[in-house]
Amino acid sequence: MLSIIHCDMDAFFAAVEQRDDPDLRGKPVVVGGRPDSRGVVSTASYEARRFGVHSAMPSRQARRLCPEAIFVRPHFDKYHQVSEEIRRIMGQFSDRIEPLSLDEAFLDVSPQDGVHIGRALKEAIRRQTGLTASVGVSYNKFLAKLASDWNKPDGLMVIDEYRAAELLPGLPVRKLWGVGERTEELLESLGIHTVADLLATGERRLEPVLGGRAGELLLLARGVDYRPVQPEHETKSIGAETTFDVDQARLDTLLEVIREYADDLSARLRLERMKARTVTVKLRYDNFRTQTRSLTLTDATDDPLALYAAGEDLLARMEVDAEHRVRLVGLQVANFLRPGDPMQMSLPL
Amino acid sequence: MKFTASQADLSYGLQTVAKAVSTKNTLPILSGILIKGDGNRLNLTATDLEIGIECMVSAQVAEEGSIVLPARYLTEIVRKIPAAAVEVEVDPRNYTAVLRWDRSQYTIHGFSPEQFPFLPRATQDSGNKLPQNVLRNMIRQTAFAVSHDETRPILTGAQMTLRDGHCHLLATDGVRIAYRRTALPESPQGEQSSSLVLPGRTLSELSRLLAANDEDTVGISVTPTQAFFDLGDVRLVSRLLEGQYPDVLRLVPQSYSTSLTLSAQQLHDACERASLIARDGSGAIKLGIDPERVTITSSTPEVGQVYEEVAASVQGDPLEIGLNPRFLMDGLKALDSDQLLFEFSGNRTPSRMKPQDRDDFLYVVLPIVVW
Repeated sequence: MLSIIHCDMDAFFAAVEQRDDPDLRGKPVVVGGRPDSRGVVSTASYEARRFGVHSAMPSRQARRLCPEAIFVRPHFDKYHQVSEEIRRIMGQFSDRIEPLSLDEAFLDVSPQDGVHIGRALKEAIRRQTGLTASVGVSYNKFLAKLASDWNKPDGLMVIDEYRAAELLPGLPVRKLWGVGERTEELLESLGIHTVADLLATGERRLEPVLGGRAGELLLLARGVDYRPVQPEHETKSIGAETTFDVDQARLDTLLEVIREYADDLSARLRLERMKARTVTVKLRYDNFRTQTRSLTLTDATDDPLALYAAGEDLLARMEVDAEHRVRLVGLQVANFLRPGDPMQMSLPL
Repeated sequence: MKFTASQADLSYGLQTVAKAVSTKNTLPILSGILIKGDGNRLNLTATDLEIGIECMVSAQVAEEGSIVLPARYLTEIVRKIPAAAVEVEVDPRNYTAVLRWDRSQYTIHGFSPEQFPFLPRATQDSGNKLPQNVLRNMIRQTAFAVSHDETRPILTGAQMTLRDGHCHLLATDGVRIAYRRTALPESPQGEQSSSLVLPGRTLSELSRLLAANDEDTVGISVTPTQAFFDLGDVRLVSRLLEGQYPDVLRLVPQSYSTSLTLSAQQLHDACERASLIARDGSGAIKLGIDPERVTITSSTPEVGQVYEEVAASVQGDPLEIGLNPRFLMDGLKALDSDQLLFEFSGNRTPSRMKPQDRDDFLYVVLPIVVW
C-alpha cells in the first residue's frame, strides 16, 4: 500500500532566507560560513546549485564557482521555528511522523492513500509557510525517500511496485540506504556500480566484503525495506554504566571509570550536536541499595573535562557507603541543549 | 532573674532576634534566645553560628540574671499576650521561666545560659557609618543578583568593599551583575580598605532590620572572618564567605557600539507584558534596535507572538539581541531612576544599564543566544 511519505523541504535554509528577503529571490544564495573564512556551505539555493555549489563545500570554493553568490549567515532560530510550523502541518495529516532533521521527515498515513495526502501536504506547506517541499510516496521508507529525491524541487513522485522494478536496476549503488563513500569504494572494487550489478553478484560473494550487511543491502536492492516509521521520542537522557565483575569500592577506581564515561558521553553529545546541563552519578552496592545524585550546571556542556569535574564533585558529595562494596557505577547526562535552542550566556567566572 | 517589660517591646525584641535562631537541630540550645536582664534593659540574643542578632529592649529589672528560652514558644506566646505588660521570673536552679500577666501564668522550660555561644564583638570600631536607608537601598539594588548555586559558594554572597571613602556592593550569579556604590559620609581617617563577601542570607536579614529613614545610622566593622553591623539597639554579626570573589567588573565591556536612552518604567512594563507570553517558551524576548524604532518581540509556538515598540533615542549601530525579560525587570526595578542608559556592544556580549545621570549604579546582563 502506498502510504509512506517522505517530505523534504527544497533548499530549506536558503529558501527561508529568500522568502524573508525579497532582494534574495531569484538570486544565487549561499547560507553558511563567510567566503573569507574556513566555513562551509550549509545550503545553496537552486540558483547557486546551477553553478555547482552544494552543501558541505568550503565557502571559499563556492565563491570561486559562483562569484555573484550572496552569502548569508544561518539563522537557526528562524529555521527551527519554520521547522516546527511544518511539523505542526504534518501533524494534521498523521500522528506517525519520524523527523530526520529540521527539513525532512517520514510520515506513515496508512490506511489513507499516500498520493492524495502527499499532494494535500505539499499544498498546505506552500500555503502556510510560502515554501516548497518535495514529496515522495511509496510503500516503504527507502523508496519514499528515493522518490522525493527524484523530482526536486517542488516535486511529487510516486514509486509503486512497477515503477520500483523499473527504476531500481539502473540505480547507482550509492543511492541505497547506508551506502556511503567507503562501501561504494568497496563495491566498485568488485566491479559493482549499479543495483543490477549488485543483484547479479549475489550474497555469497558480497558477504566476505560487507559482512552481515550484505543481506540487508540485497533486500534494499530488491526494493524491500521493513523499517517502520518511528515517531520521534526525543532523547531525554544518555548514560553509561557498568556492573563490575568484581565488587569495587575504591574511590580512585570509581573516578577512573567516571573519567572514561565522561569521554564517552562527551563524544555521544558531540555526535548528536547537543550539550547537557544536568549530570547524574549512580552507585549500586552489593546489597542492591542504589544511590543517585545530580547537579545542574550553569552552562550546558559537551566538554569531557567539565563532565568529569561534575562527576567527581557529585561523588565527593555522595557519602559513599564504606560498609558495602560498589557493584555498579553510572554517569548520566540530561537536560539537553540542541542546535537552535536558546541559550542564556554567562560570565566565565 | 526577674523583670517586667512592656508586651510590645518584648515582642519586638524577640521577633527581631528570632530570625537568627537555628532551624537545624544540631545544637538544641541554638533553638533558644538568650535573655539577659541588666540595669533597666534586657539584652536578647540569638545565633545559628552563621549570623547572630542582638537586640536591647527596656525593662524594669528587679533581679539581674540570664536564661535561654526556646524561641518558638516564647515568641509566639509573647506575641499573643493581651496585656500591656508582662512579668517574667526565672528560677535559676532548673532554668525555668514563669510569665505572668493579669490572672495568667505560663511556665516555660529553658536551657542554662552558660552553654549559649558567645557572640563575637567588633574588636574596634572602624568608624564606617551609613544612613540605614542608604544601606537598605544598596542591598535592595544588588542582593537579588546573588547566586543560589551551591557549587560556587562564593557567588552566593555579595562583595562589599570599603575603600576611598566609599562603600561598594556587588553581586552576580554569572548571568547578571548588580553593582551599587555610595560615599561614606563618616569614614575614618587615613588609608584603609577592606573587601568582604557577605552571605546572601545576611543581606536579607540585615535589610529587614535596617530602618527606612536616613536619621538612624548603621556602623560597619570588619574582622578577617566576621562583619559587624551596629544599628543602635540592634546588632548583627555575620560570618563571611571564605575565598576570593572574582573580579567581575573586569569582564564588562568598556566600549559600546549601540546605546539607548529611554524610560525605565516603560521598558519595565513592556518586558512584564512580554514575559506573560514568553514564559511558556524559552522565556526570551528579542530587543530590536534601529534608528527608527526599538521593538520587543517574542514568539512562543503554542501561545502566540509579542510585538511592542518602545520610545527611545538610539545611538550607534542597529542591533538585535535576545534577553531574558525577568532579568531586565530585576535591573530596571533596582535602577531608581526613570531615565535609563542601556548600552550594547553586539548581541553576544554583556550589555550594561545605568541611570542616565548617575554613575553609582550599574547593572550588567548577558544575552540569550541561539546555540
